Amino acid sequence: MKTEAAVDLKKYSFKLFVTGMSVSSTRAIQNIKTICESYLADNYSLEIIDVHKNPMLVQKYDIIACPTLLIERPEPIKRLIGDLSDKEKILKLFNIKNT
Amino acid sequence: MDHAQHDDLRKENQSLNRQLQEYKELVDAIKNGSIDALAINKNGEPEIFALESTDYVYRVLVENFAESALNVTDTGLIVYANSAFDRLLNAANATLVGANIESFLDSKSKKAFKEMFRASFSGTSKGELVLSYNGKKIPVYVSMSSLYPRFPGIGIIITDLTEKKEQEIFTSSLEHKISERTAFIQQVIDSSVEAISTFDKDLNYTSINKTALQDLALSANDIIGKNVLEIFPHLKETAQYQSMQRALGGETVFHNNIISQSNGTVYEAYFKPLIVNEEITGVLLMARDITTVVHAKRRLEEMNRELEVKNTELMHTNTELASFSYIASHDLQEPLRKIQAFTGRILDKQSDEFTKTTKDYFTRIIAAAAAMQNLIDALHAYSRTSVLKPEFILTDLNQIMEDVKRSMQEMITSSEAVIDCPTLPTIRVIPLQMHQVFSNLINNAIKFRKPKERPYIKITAELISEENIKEEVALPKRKYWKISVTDNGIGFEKIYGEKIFELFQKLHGKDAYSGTGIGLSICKKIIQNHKGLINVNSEPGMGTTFNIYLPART
Repeated sequence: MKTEAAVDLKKYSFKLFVTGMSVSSTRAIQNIKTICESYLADNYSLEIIDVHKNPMLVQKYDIIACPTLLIERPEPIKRLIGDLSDKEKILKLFNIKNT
Repeated sequence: MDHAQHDDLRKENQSLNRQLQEYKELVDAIKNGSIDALAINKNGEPEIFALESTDYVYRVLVENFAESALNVTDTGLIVYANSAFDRLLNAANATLVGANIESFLDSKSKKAFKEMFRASFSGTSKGELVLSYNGKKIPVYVSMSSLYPRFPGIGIIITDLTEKKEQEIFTSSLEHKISERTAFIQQVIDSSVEAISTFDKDLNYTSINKTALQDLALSANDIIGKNVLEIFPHLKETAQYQSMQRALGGETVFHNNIISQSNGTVYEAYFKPLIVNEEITGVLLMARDITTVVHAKRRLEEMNRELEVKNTELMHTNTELASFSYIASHDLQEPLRKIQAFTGRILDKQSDEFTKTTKDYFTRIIAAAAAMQNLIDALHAYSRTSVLKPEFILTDLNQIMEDVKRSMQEMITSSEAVIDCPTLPTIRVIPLQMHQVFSNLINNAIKFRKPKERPYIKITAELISEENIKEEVALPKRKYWKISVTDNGIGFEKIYGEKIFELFQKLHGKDAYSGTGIGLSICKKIIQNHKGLINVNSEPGMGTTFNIYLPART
């Protein structure tokens, strides 16, 4: 598992809470991967966390539903619930203009 | 602000607060786990999602599967991986989910994977691939199933083949070793000088080595699988066939003389039971060609017999000869003594009446009789040395030497001989015989002196070990006394070194030197009786040395 220190080095840091077996979670993973690879290059860290495998993390990060994207950086901490299909809204949250 | 407006806002605020409160309570209820399901409005249709889901069971099953289970999207993105996959790659789940499955494939497997992946879109596909992660290659069996249309992706089950592959490699290396070992053993068996063949329980040939094939002048194809009686029908009534049957009964049978019908070759052979897991499975036959050995043995036996016969003959002859010379010399004495007596008397009483010629003849007759007397005496002495068995006595050789000198006093004085003799040892000898040896040698030394030179005889004695004697001695690993008698006489040619010890051999003309030609033969015989050696070194004009080797006391 990646250490916290390593995660902290990147400008953008996300944790995606999913249930890997579901359609929404699958879409959410696909969408965030596409956005990261297209706009953030190497400047991000992304952890995809299966809530069934890590129930303790659900409590720690106060997750209610899946999928939820927890944006740790840039601060302040924000949560996005859903399959992350609204790309414009997410880019706005990252302060990135869609070209 | 208008009072009524203010009132409305306040009411609205209260209603919003209520709503907010409700939502908070809902969220808390969900978080507390105090609700079972969520009602969701999807496309205007209500849909109930049970929170304690029925797929729980499957999830646990899949999660704890021994095989790796994955969900991937149609681009290969991993959206779920169970814990078996983490273990397979020895990586954290969070680093695997979100990665593309292609990044875990060995470069050589990528093409095959793509084909399988494409095929899986329209059903299922299976095959063996190799994964590669952190430099470690993992052979796997992969099975892919399309999850469309209910789920946009592919389900993948991966089975680890590492152990199986290792087992295969182990098995194949084992097979390789076994075949190498078998070839080695076959080579050893083929190289054996023994003819080796094996038979099953029905006495059909199961194997045969090269030596056996060469002896039989057959090829393996002619023999293997065939019954021994089919190849050699004449065996049926023989002891060999019985021995094969006995070997099948667990006995080991040895034949030392099997003679081949075809070429007369002689074999010795073992018939042994072949035992596998305590059960007799057939017969092992090992035969060795002993024709040359048998022939050589036979020849040796013949030669030994011949030799024995000859030995007996020789011993017989020797005994006869010895007793003959003893009797002859003894019996010849009597008539000779009479001749001497009567010629002596005639010469004494009637010599005055003789003519000069008659007197001369008579003198010659007496001289000849004296010579014959000498000859008979010597012959008698010689035969006595081999016929009689006198006792060995611890004797001081100095004493014997003194006796010899005394008895030869006249000869020594008249020839003015000088005898230079050191202290001699005390050893076990037959005193009379040693007296003969010394007196013979000194007699020779004086007799064969140079005409105008004073005889000088030097005697030496030294203790030496057996290794220092060039000739073979009767008692090895003993100390020997080497006693040498050296003179300054006329000497003789080296080639006569052996000859002078033979009976009646004289190197010089009868006229020049008196003697019977028996003395040295007697010396040799005596020294042989003493388990010693005698030899001679000489050169014409340079003197002669006789060396006697006698065993020292142990």
